[in-house]
Amino acid sequence: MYNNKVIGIPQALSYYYFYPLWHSFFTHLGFNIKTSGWTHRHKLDAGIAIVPSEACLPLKCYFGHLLSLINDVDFIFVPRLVCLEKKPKIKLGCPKLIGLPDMTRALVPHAHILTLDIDLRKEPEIKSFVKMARRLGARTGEAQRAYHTALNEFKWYKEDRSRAASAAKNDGNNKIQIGLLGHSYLLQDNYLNFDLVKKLSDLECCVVDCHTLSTEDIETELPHIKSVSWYFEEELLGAALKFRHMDNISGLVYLVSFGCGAGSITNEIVELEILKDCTIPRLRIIIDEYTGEAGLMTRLESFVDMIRLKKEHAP
Amino acid sequence: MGTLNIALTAFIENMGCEVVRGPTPNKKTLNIGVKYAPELVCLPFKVTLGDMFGVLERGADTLLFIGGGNWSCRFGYYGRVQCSLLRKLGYRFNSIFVSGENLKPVVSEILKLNSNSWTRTIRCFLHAFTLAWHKSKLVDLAEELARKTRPAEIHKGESSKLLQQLLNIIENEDSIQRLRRMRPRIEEAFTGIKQNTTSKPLRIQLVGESYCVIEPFVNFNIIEYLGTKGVMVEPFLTAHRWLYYHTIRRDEDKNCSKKKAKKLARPHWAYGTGGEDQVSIGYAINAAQQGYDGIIHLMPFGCMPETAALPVFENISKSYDVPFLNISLDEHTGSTGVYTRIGAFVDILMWRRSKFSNSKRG
Repeated sequence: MYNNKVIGIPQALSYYYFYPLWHSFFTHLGFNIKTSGWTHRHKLDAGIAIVPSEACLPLKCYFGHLLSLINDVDFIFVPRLVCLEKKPKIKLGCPKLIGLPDMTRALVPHAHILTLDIDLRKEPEIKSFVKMARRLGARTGEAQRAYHTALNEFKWYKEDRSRAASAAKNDGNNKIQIGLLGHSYLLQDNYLNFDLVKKLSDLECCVVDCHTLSTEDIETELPHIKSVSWYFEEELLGAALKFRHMDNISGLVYLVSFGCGAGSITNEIVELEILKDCTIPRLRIIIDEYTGEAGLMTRLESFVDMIRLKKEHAP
Repeated sequence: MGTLNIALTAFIENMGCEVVRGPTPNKKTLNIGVKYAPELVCLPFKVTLGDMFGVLERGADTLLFIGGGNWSCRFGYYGRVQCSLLRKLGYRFNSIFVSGENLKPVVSEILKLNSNSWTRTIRCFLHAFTLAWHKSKLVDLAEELARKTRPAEIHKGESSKLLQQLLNIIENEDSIQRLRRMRPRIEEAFTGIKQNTTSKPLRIQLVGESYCVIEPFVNFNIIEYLGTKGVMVEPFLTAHRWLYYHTIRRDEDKNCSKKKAKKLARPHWAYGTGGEDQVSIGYAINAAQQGYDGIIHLMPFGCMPETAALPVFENISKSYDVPFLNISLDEHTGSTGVYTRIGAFVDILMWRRSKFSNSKRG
């Protein structure tokens, strides 16, 4: 019925968290999905040109992706993540995610935007999805079914991911293990993070991405500290708590983009509350559009050298 | 935050505590704040952290932190992080967190001060509250009148001098009776200032992040500066209106209520994200509709809500044809740079006004 309609999803920001959910929801309704692919210099440049210079790098990247898609699709899917969890505590998106559709309307007025307002304080998630589907012309029952299937598939996807990660972890036991903290949209976008994981593996390290820890692991750790109300940040704090107790982790790398507001607070919470009495070496890397690859490489090399030295001299 | 200390000092002192007044924010306190604060955090965090060092050096044993709710803006975490930072540096103090959701610790602390007697506490609270209320209303009135008379005064600097005198009087007055009778006196004092009635000053709406709009040290006293240059600046929020709105949910603005502002903003900015972004946008639209000459937007560098809202402001400026100036402030911002930009902006507004009035005549 909708076979000729194409929905574009920019491959940036919340894409890296919820894409499987959105993808299966739209395909079950019969839409075609087009993503913008990996980040490239020209995409990023297009974003930098229109977004206010003070905004964070991932946001600039998002608009670059959006612009690259805009002529090939019928709708651009721009979600608004306001409140993503209500109980036990309210979890909010960062202001940039809350204002994303409004920003898009102001910056790219000719875009056909399809928004999805997720605000659990107002209505359950399924209702928001059904509302959006009805705006596209789908029937309520159809949309509800699509949502349930999509949700199940999303759950399986997450389980698969953490299973695959734990299998991979067992391989590199004799290597130095480094915990990686940061938003998914930085850690998985290899253009933005300068292929950090590969660089670390070239230095003979084994990287444990904080997003591959299982949800249960993170949730059992969270009660140890006072929570924060940013949804994506809460996950990072849980991962930091978990890393603290993992004996094989010998270093922590915290990747944060310049201008990330939530990052400046969570960084401090990690330092002051979670890793207060902890001697794990850690490295904070702040990236923006001017970060050079050579500088990053030097810092990573010296960090890994330091860990090696520490290990050799350990009693 | 601006002249808020007059009301708050009155309130807390009458609740039975001694208030340690730190130095007003200045270059020195800012530098201390910048030294110990996280690098990427916003300016108000650094300024207030610097202030805390000031009061702790002067012997304060308890710090009151405001905020700590479910906010998407960083302001909700100020107290938590500042508290841990100060403790890590070796300062010893009690901390009380004041937030709307959890008033229990505050109430129990107050009860302790009044030897656990509810009647005494309530009587004390009522007295302190009325006193603070009257003081803050008077300060707000005096500041508003000063803003209005300053651009057209004939002897420059007269209104500011009068304002300073009045603030001193209000601060040192302890009787509610006399405070009540002060209102007409203040109004009279300002009508006594000689004004140039022929001039029609430019009107500028000031919007943005609340701390940057309110604190004169951070915004280089932009309201007074522009006032002496003959421009009337209307901030969307004053220190006292901020206090009323966030404590007793009272909206004191007659020109444009918060509710109206939010309604105006909703088509452009659907959700308030924790800062004053939605209200700011509403005020910007309101100003455009009421024929203000320009809009100045102040924010700390990297402010989460205001940065996100920036494209929307620019869009409003385009569609309503109102000049818009965004100034982002951080510890490296210098007064000369800000004044140059404001001066150029005012020149544009003057030029626009003369152009449009000429074309109307023609």
